[in-house]
Amino acid sequence: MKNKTTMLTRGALLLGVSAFLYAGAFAQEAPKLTDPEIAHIAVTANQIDVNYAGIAKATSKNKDVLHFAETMERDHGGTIKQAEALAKKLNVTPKDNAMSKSLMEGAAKETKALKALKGAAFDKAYIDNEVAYHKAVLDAIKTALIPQTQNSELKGLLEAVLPVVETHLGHAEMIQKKFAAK
Amino acid sequence: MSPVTVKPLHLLALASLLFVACGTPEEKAPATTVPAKPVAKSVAVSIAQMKFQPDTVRIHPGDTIVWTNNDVVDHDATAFPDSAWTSGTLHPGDSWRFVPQASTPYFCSIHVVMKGAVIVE
Ligand SMILES: [Cu+2]
Repeated sequence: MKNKTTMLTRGALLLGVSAFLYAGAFAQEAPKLTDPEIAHIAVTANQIDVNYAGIAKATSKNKDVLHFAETMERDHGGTIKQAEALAKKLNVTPKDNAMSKSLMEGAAKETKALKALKGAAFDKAYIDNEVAYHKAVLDAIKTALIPQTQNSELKGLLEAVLPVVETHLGHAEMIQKKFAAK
Repeated sequence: MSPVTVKPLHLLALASLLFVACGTPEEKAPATTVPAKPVAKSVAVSIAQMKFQPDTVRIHPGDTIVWTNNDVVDHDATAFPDSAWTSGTLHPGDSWRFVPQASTPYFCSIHVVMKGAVIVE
């Protein structure tokens, strides 16, 4: 309990409100996850970022933001396909769970907030959220998902996705710095 | 007031001289030219875990670089910053062969933080 509180506080301080939501979402179910649940979380987490990218493509006119959104759509969309194909091959039916639900709830709030914005305010909010979201996902993959995955192929896919998420974070932070310098 | 004049006949002679000296362009550069280098070699660059491995490749003129995407997402290899050459999208499992003519940094235009360099020496 103490750990969870510390983690949430730290998350809120470092990353702001949206990260607070994500940290909460990922922290809740950390102790016990089955492979079908992990597969569901993986697909959900990727789908959420594809959806954010869709909003960015419909809203932004910034070249860097649009390019980043294209990359998110491509990579997270591709990862969903691979996760689903692997689940099928392994006969694992992705199973809805508290962490997935919590993720969806956080994303619904963030989506509403993003959809209310336009122009430079949208661009900044989208990129800030991408930084926070990728940090939270990275943390969850490392500390909750990979350690608990039983199937070696599913674990392998998560391990392969880790550097992808790290690179996305670096890319988002690069744009974030560019905005801050303006 | 009068500039140096060159008679047409002289021009013709000059042109034919140049022609002989250079040879015909067609003879010099057929599509399948193997460069004069005695042993052109092939160097592999693996794209894996969001990195070009190795990230710097030293080659001689005429050497081929073969990029292979061994990662789980799409990548490309594109000259930086002028995009003078590009592999186009390489899906997981795809390869692309190219003979770089000059040293240049390059990057992945999908993941702009992924960087590499070709050094032709
Ligand atoms: Cu790439």
